[in-house]
Amino acid sequence: MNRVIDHNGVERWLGNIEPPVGHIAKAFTVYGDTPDAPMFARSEWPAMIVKFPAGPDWPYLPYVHDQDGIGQCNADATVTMAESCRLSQGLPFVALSAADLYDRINGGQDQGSILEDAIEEMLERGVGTVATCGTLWKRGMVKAPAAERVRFKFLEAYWCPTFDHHMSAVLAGFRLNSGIMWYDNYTPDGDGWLPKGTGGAGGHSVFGYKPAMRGNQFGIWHQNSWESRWGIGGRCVFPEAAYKGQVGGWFAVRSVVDEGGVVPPERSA
Amino acid sequence: MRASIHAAFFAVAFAATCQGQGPSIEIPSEIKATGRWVRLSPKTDAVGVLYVALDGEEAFPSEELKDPRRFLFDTKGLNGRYRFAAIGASATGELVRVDFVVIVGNGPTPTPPGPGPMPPDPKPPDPAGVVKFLVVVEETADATAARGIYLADLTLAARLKDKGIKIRVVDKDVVGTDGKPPADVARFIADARDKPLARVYLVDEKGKTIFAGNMPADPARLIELLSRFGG
Repeated sequence: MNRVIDHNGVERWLGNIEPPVGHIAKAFTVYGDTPDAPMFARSEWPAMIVKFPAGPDWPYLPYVHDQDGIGQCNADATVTMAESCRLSQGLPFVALSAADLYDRINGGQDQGSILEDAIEEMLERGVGTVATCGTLWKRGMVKAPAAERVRFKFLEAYWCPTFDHHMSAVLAGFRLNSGIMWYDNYTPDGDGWLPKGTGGAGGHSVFGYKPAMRGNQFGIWHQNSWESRWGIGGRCVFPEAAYKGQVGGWFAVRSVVDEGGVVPPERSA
Repeated sequence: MRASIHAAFFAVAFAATCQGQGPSIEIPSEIKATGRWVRLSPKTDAVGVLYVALDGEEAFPSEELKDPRRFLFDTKGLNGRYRFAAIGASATGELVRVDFVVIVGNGPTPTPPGPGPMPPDPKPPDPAGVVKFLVVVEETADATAARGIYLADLTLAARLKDKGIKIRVVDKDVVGTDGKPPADVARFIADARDKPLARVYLVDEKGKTIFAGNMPADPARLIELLSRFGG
């Protein structure tokens, strides 16, 4: 399955594909293996989560992307991580081009992509802007120059092997890319939580940003790339149960290249 | 971290596997302090209640009390509104959260001690002395535990937006694509060298640094600091 009909009756595309047989996974630092990527015990989570505001709001969310009929979910989730990092670092907002990233990881056709390829590209080469490349991939599209891409790179990225790693990362202020199986009954309830998955499913990739808790259930708020009419203003909670197995990986990112901001030089009165 | 103090409490709560009815907690939404100690035994069927301070002032650890559901809060030296989240756990692991406020004195907002050296009685800010930029220099590797909570604070974000304050958060070792510290924050990074991190700088619209000191421990204290400089 590579597309679903959402609760608005709109056809939505997925695009997170499993690596081919024989694929050798790229090596990433494992979250929790370094002191600056701390793990938090499950028993600590509730007291931490209640300090986060309830609901979908969060101060450093960029606009809700719309992959609009293209299988570029992974690229949208990944560049949204970068856009969000820039906002929290106090850098001016720049709309980054999922199309420019997808163009380099989709094998030349709209067939979806692998999460680790997107993360690696963002670590090594970066991504161009919407102003240069547009938002949606198409064959023969304008490519961003290397000098532009290098301004928008990840500085570090971690692979999260379990939900506990992923939750620890978001508690510590990391931005997430969650590769999961997306079920065709995945319509958020009134609180934004996805139900238990049933029916057909396909790989999807979504940007995650904040922990959530309901009763004794943990989850993570995500911003989908299906424009803001979907879900709660484009957002939903992935319950822990949605993390049944990695589909392409779960990744955490904290910061992007700092090209300088807007604090004025000190001048005499 | 306070959360770790309560690890045992939640370990017990989450160790239970069978599903049961969630506990209930009845606490008034506002409690007016009438003496030094605020004492409360909520009406609840929870086996334990954890009280999480949302404005920095902690309640006495409930697990140290004979009744681990009791709320005990020392108001000595306080004035203002102090928010708490009460998290109750049932014997079967179900959790419930109830928020409430303790009102001490007549002050509308908490007035905790400042994070560092501050002018004892700053003059009313003139336009040139009003904070317009908030610069934070941090050691990213040390900042992670509180970072997520700081990032998520909607009250702080709303204050920054309302007052038109732009924020810059940089690691002490940050360099741009040219291998140099970003030009707009280079002077703060240089100043923060050999000082405790995270360090905060308030800057006016002319680029003048009007405050430098230690980063407040929580968003409420940072808001208090901003308000002293017109922000």
